[in-house]
Amino acid sequence: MSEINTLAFVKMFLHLAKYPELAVNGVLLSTRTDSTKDEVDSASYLNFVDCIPLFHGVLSLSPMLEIALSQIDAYCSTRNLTIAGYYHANENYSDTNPNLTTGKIMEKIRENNPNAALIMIDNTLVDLDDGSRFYNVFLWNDKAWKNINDS
Amino acid sequence: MQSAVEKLRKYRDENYRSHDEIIELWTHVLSNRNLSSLGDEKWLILEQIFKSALHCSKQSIARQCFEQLEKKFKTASRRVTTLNGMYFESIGEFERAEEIYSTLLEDNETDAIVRKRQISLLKEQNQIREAISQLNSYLELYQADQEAWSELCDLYLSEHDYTKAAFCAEELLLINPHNHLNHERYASIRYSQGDYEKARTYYFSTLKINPTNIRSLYGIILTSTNLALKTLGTNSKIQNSNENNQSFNEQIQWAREQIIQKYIETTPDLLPIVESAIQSLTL
Repeated sequence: MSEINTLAFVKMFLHLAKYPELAVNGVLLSTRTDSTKDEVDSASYLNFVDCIPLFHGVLSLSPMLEIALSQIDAYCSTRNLTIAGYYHANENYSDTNPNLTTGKIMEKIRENNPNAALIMIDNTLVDLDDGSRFYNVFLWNDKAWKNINDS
Repeated sequence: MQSAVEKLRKYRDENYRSHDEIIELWTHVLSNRNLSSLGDEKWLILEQIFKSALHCSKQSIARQCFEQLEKKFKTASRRVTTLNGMYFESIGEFERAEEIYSTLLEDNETDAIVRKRQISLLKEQNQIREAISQLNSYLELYQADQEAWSELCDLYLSEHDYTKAAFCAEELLLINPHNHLNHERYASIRYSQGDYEKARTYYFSTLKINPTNIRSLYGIILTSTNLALKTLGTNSKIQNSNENNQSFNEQIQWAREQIIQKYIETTPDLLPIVESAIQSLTL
C-alpha cells in the first residue's frame, strides 16, 4: 500500500507538465523509519511526503545521476528522510513499461532502501481536473518489477 | 492585432516553443479578423498556428487553418501535403500519414523534411530500432544535419548503447566545436562508459569554453576522484602516482571552490548540502 501527500503529488505533476514532450524522472521521499533498511513484506506501507525532480530529456547519463543522488542523500540525512520511490515518465505517450534506464536507477536506489518503489507515469491517466493517481506503482518481487495492481 | 502579428513573427524567427500562447493569440485576437491585409504573411501565420494547434491537441483549430491553406494552394504544394501528414500523425492514424509521406518521397526522394517525419512516425510507434536504422541511412546522405545527429545520439542513449552515442556526439563536436554543451555531452557519455580519462579531458575543454558550466565542474570532481582511486589500486611507480594524485586533488579542490562560489552567489541555503555531497563523493 502506498500513500502520497499533496506536496509530492503536485510537484511530480508540475514536473510532467513543464516538459510535456520529453521523458522526465525524479525521486520521491518518505520519512525514515527503523524498518527502511530491512526487506519488505507485502504488507509494508510507503508514505511519500516530498518529491525531488531529477532530469528531463536524456535520463541515462550516469555522472549527473551520481551527483544528484549524493546531494539528495545529504539533504535526506539532515531531515530524517529517505529515498522511497522513483518516478519515470517515458518520452513515448503510450509507453508505460519499465526499461533499461529504470532498471539501472532502481538498482542503485535499492542499495540504500530495498523497499523503494518504482512509479511509472501513465499519460492516459494524467488529468488536470481529476486528482486521482496518474501512475502505476511497481514493487520488486521475485527478481522483477511487478505492478502491484496485477494479481 | 498588429502586436499579435509581430509576436508571432518573433516566435517564428527565433524558434520559440510557446504553443499555448500562440493558440491563445489565435483564439482571442486573430481568428475573427480578416488576415488578407497581411499578404503572404497570412499563410506563414496559418502554418504556424496549425503546428502549435497540433502540439496542444486542438485538432479543430488545426483543421480550420489547414482548410484555408488547402483552398489557396490546392494539392500542388508539398509543404501543405506534409502538414496534412502531420495532422494524421497527431490523431494517431499512422498508416494514412505514412501513405502521404511515401507518396511525397516517390515524387522527390531528396525531401529531407519528409524523410525526418517518416522517422518520427517510427519513433511515435515506439519502433526505436527501426527509427535508428532509418536515421542512420538518412545521415549517410545528410552528414551535416546537427538536429539529426542529436536525435540519433538520444536514441542510442535510450538504448544504453554508449559507444554509438559517443560516435554521434563526436560528429556533433566536429560540426560545432565551440558549443560547450557538445563537449559536456561527450564527456558525460564517456564517463557513463567508464572512460574517466577521456571524460575528464572533455570536461576541461567544456570549462575552457564556458567556465561556469556546473555539470563540468562536478564532472572534474567525479573523474579525478575515480582516476585517483584507480592509480591507488594499480601497481604503478610510487612517485608517478603520488604526483598524479596530487594534481588530481588540486583539481578537485579547484572545482569544489568554483561550485561553492556559484552556490554562494545564487542559493546559499543549499551550501551545506552541496559541501556534504561533494565530501561524500570524494571520500
